[in-house]
Amino acid sequence: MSLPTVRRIDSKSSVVRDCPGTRKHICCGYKTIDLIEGCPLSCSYCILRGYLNNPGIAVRTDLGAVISEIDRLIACKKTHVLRFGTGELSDSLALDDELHVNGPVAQFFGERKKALLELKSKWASIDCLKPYLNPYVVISFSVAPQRMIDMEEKSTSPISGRLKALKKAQDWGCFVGLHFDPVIIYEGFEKDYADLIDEIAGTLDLKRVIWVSVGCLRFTPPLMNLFLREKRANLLHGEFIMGEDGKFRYIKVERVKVYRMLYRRLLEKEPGLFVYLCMERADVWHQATGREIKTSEDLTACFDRRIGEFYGGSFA
Amino acid sequence: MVLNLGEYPHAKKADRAPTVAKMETVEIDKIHVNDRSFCVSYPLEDDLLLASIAKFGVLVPLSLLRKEHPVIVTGFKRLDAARRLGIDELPYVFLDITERQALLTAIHDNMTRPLNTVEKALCVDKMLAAGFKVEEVYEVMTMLGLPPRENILKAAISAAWAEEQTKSFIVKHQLPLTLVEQLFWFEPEERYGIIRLAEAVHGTVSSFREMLQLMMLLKVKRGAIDFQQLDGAKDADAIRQRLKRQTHPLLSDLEEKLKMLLSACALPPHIKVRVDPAFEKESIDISLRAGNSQEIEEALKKLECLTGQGLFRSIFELTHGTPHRL
Repeated sequence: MSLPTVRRIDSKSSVVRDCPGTRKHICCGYKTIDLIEGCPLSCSYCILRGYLNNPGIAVRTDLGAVISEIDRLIACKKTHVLRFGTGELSDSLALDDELHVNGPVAQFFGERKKALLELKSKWASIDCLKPYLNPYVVISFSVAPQRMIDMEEKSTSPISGRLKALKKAQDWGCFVGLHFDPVIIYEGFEKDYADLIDEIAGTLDLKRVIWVSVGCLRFTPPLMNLFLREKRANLLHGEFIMGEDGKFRYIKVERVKVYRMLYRRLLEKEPGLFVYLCMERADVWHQATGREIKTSEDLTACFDRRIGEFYGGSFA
Repeated sequence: MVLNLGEYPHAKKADRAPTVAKMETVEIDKIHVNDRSFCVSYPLEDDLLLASIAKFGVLVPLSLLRKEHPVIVTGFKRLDAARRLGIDELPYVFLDITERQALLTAIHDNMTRPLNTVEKALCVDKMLAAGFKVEEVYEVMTMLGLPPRENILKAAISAAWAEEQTKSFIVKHQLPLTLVEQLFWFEPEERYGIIRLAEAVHGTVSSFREMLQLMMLLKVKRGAIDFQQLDGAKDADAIRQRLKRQTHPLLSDLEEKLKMLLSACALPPHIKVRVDPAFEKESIDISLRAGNSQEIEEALKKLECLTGQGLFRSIFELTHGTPHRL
């Protein structure tokens, strides 16, 4: 991976936002910290290809101000445990060896002990973070069958590397997360995903996986045009409709089938796993999991219960 | 074709504007008529102009780049009309400018009228061929109402170099360069097939856009388009339906099932059941129109009866994506 031009910005403007979510779909209520904007990994389906028109990387250097902003938010929120992440406008770890921005933020969460920081990545390099890690930092990786990584995530770490990094994080005492997102439907995807889940179960201690998200591929109309121009047969293999949020997504019946299959397989490996659907509708939740998650608040409550299971009353 | 002046009964010399007589004129033979370096007009044939010149003669002089054999900078359509009318001398003015200035003169002179897509494409292509920097071309693209982007620039080059059939199709159907870009995404044989189909059904720009998008999707998914399956479609909507059945088989099935359900329950015209076209929304909309209380009661009874027969349960199975039902 070659490092693109990096601009350092010290704007003092707000960097913490609610996850933009998507209209008419259930969101987990995550908060994003935009420490870095732009990603060197260049996945073919990345939503950033449609959002960001600046090809370089912008990194916030005023970490003191960023931490103060997070601190204020944590102090104000008494109703549930806040979860923050830095992987919305970039990959959380891909540039950390060079930029070292996650360390001080991770250290703050360890000292504050009232909220969680999730570092979400496809780049299997976590050694530089080791001195800063603590139980309040969740290391997460997006996971996909190696065949998809080879085709659509060419600059990222292989799945074996990602799982090894997660294992290492578990060995260091961290809780980890898994994100099956985006799940891509292609010829033979069911078997590939079944093998992937076997590989995950063979590598990680699933009892110490705090959450697993599952989200099917979705994208904006400009990305559809891009995928067509680039003849992305894998990405366009399934059947897409335009959702109420103006994004393309697989037709509901296909999504339900995919979610059911993954949900069942994951719970077969570890019945206690907390598996949630990313940006889905209430009826899809019901059809796929049998659970009644009707609003974003319902899902946030599930997270609070899960965090309670892992951390006990330490957030009270 | 040389138009017979007899077709224009008013085209008498006396009707022509007297100013023409005062202008310097040049014999057409002395102009380098085949040099179209500065020509941004397409098509050259213009019946209105032809009729006007037949009646009044060429009122506005051609501008010629001064050379041993002068080259036309502006006035290609006038020249074409004059030749068709058998006129052999034309008014002119000489321009003592560089070739780059001549091209900009040609472009800006034509900007005083609405340019079609091929003409805009010719402006872009000729500027690039003349060695203008991309930034300079983007500036002119903006003036022409084109987004200054690389893909649009490439589409313009494709349109400028297209064969006559494609150029004429683009102009006739007023396709924007974004659609031209999609049209040129296909192999030439497929492109001719698409043009042939579109010409046969006389659709709108928006129906053509939808058709192209579905064809692109089909090509990506299956590697080829079976034009035989599309032949004989009576209109653009029929082509869209046939394409959609191939690109969206599940959605087409849902639509068909819904149609069957609604037709089986024979809803009276004042009760409407609307389902989200993408079958995403969990809810359906039921509306009824009534002129009095009795009509409301009757409509509610009908709905109650249909609910009892399981109509709405079946529709909800379609909207909830229940896999075992499909």
